[in-house]
Amino acid sequence: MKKAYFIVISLITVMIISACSQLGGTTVSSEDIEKYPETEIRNIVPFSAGGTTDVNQRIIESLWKEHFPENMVIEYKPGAGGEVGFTELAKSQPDGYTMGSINTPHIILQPLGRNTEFEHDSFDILARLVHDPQVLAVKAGNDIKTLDQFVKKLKEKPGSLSVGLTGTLTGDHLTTLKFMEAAGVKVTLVPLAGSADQVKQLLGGHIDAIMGNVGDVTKDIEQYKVLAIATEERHEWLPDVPTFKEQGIDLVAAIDRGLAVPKGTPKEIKEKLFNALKEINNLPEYKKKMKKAGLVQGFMPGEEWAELISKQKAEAEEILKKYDLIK
Amino acid sequence: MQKERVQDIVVSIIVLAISFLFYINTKTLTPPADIFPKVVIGIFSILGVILLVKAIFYRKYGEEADEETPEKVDMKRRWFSITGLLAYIFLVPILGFYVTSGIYLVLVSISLNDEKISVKSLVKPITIASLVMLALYGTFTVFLRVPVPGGIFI
Amino acid sequence: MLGELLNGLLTSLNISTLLIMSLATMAGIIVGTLPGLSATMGVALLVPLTFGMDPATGLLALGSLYTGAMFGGANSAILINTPGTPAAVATTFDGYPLTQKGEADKALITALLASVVGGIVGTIFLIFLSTPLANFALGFGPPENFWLAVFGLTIIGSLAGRSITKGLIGGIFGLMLALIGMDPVSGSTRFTFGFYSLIEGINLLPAMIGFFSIPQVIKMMEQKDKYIAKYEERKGIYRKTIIETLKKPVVLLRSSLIGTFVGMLPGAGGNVAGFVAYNETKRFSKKPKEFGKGNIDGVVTSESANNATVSSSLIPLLTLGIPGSPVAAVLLGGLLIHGLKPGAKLFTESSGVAYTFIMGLLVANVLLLLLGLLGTRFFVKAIAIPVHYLAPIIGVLAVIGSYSIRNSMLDVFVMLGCGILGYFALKVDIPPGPIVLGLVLGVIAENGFVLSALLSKTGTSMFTLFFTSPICIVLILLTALSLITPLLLNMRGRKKENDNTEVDKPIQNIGG
Repeated sequence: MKKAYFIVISLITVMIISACSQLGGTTVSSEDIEKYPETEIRNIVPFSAGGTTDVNQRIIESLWKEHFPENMVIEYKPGAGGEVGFTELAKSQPDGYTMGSINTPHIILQPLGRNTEFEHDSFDILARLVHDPQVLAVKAGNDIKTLDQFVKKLKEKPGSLSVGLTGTLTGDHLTTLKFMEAAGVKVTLVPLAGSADQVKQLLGGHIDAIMGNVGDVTKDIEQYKVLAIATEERHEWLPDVPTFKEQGIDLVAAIDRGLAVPKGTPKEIKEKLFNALKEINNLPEYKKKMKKAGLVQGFMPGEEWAELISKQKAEAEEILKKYDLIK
Repeated sequence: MQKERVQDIVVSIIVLAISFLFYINTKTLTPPADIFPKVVIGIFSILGVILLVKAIFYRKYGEEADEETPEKVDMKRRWFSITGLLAYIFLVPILGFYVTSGIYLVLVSISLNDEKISVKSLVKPITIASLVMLALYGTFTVFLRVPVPGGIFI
Repeated sequence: MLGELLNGLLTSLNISTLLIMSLATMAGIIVGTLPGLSATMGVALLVPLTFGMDPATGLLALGSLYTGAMFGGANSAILINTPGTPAAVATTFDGYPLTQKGEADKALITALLASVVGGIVGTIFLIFLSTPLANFALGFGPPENFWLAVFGLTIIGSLAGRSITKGLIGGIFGLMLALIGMDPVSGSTRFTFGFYSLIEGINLLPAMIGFFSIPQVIKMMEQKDKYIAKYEERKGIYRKTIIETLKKPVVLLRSSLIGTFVGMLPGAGGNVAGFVAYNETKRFSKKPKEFGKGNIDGVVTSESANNATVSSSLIPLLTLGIPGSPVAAVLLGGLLIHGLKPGAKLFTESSGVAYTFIMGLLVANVLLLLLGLLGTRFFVKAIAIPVHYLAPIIGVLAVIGSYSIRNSMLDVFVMLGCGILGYFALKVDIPPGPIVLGLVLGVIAENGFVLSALLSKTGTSMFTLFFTSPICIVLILLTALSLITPLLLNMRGRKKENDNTEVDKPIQNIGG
């Protein structure tokens, strides 16, 4: 077995040499910025394949090549409600070759609620792409037909109705807490694995209602009775659904999705990426595809969205404190 | 026969140790999230105790073990293969997947083969390793465009 | 409806579609065979390539790849004792012992044939009974899922090796591994022992690759055999095996039905189906002792069940828009990108595409049979690779496979950890099967339990939730039955032994 020892020793040598050569870091020089992009862009999708974020990015991918010199490669980093992917994005090299999807309020709530390795401002935001308002819906044919009945039942017996959410510390969770606060009621919160599970449990009659999104319920609207939508004015996709405000409950909430790069990415590079996104966003083909896939467009430049996010953070912190969910 | 008894005792002690380790960690859980883990850990430790009791008091030990053919195990090879795997996997993110895997393939196939090292005996493993790496490169990087662990090389 | 079905069939039978489907099936077989490249990933990788195709062709390509991958998992399960996909875990139990006996070809052909039969049975259910079945699947709420997982755990009894106690230790250990990560209610981390990265939990795929392939690699390296098994090409084996397999209609049909039913339950799905079918076939078999030692029925049952799940996991997707499995979730994405709305409307608004797709799945199974028969001749040659090349190659595949699931080195380390643990566990008679089963069922059981506990806050008592729904009662009865049968068989076995003094050993695995 002398051979074996020889091999082990040579391996160790290689290990030491390679460890030494790892020391030098990389910075982006002005030359790099000029040449950008030289190779394909990595696009981190922090949710599993086939989900809403993935569909959005796939639609962008199908149009990307005509508006940007280099390819886009989608990389899935699902896990822990998006936290795994957000962390990966925040920690990547800010050289313009990595971008990724971020969602609010996820990126606000996760650092507030538990120990994460990123903060809500660990990203340079490119643009918001989707603005999907939240809705409270029950199964079609349910006894409860209006928001008033829903609230009344809860006032009579607090906690007697269950509301399905896509997990803890998600948009659905925050909105439901806000709803409880605004309406002065208490529901039983049921955190589920995802929006597919939400729909399944609702249609199977295992939960009473879901706090979902416009995109979820418009996929097959006949299966639901949407009680209220959390917007300022009625939504064009759901013209018959009254808002919470109309019905006397002050609740406006949505899940926003967009693209960001790691903090510190050079401005010129961000502009190149932003321009490509803006062009794609204005294409009629993109609009058609988004609508068909049930994605509510809500384009907004990065700076504006970042401001909105810091405002939302203050709000969310208050609510979470009330329900003792701050870490 | 006796060896198996000792083995079972060791296994049951490890089982109990793991149960203990997990149990300490249930302290931070809040109801109702703590019921399920506690039940599972409870069952695990009970099984550990059953195994321990059986190992100490059960008489008919090793009755079936005799049926087994003695294994042709080479202890040196066992530890060599385990350390080889460890070294390989820890080197992958440093050196890059393709280079490390290529080196690993060559070194392992040479060391497992009982032939003496000569220039001739090196040609075949190196060719095979490069062909395998080429096939993997074609499948993963070119065709499927799946990222592989990168390092200072590819 | 018949007219539409026929139309769909004709549409799927044009040359270019068939060509694309064949390519996708082949790709599927390869993806399935490589450990780590699961069906889910294969389909996800194919989605962008379907952008340019018309929706029906694109979907058929995805469906063919899924079908191919489900069978492909059996190749590596049989030849190198490493399931290529999680659904093929049960195939290793008897498939690999057959290889060791020199009957790899027989096992592979049987697996192929069983897969095709399972796929066709599943598709027939999808075509004719999807609506009632989808409504049945909806009946599975948290309490039902909990009992399903408990029933699943009783299967450990038939997977344990020589000692039931140790099999149970393995199974419960799997459950404990499933606890690691995020708490399903509060979302806080638990059991991570200070490793932040473990917040994601132990992912099933890398753990499975580790538990199966690494012990195999180490075993191959430490033993001085030059090849893993003897193999000689045998004449007429194809004909003989096909006839033999078709002579087992009961096993084939029962397993396909189990696959169809378990596969369509969202959340539980495909990975459990093979286990349940294996358990039932063993229970009904006249020679339960041969299972795990190379009984061909073990391969038949696992493979027909897991390929039946291909179509049945699409039932909730196509009728209700709810993806029943990870692959179905990816397919849902594919449908949406092509501008199709899954759910009941699919059959009214885009009926052409929908009927072409479901009829095309039948065609995909026929293609699988043809391509599989060609492929088998090639795959079986893997045994002819000397161990000193094969072992490190499996190691390399395990690394790239576990990495590429979600591009994470952590998964590679999890794979390695599970692998080395699995190797020593195997040395002390704890087989990997129960551990992986526990890992699969752990999440389902815990979610079912915790969500039921939460639902009880609305005023329904825990007792009503857990013990009164018809599905719960049936599952509880099945669990009880599953626990009692080994004891009954044991007693019957003893009686038999007393009756005649022949050396017909009773099933006395209970001791340990």
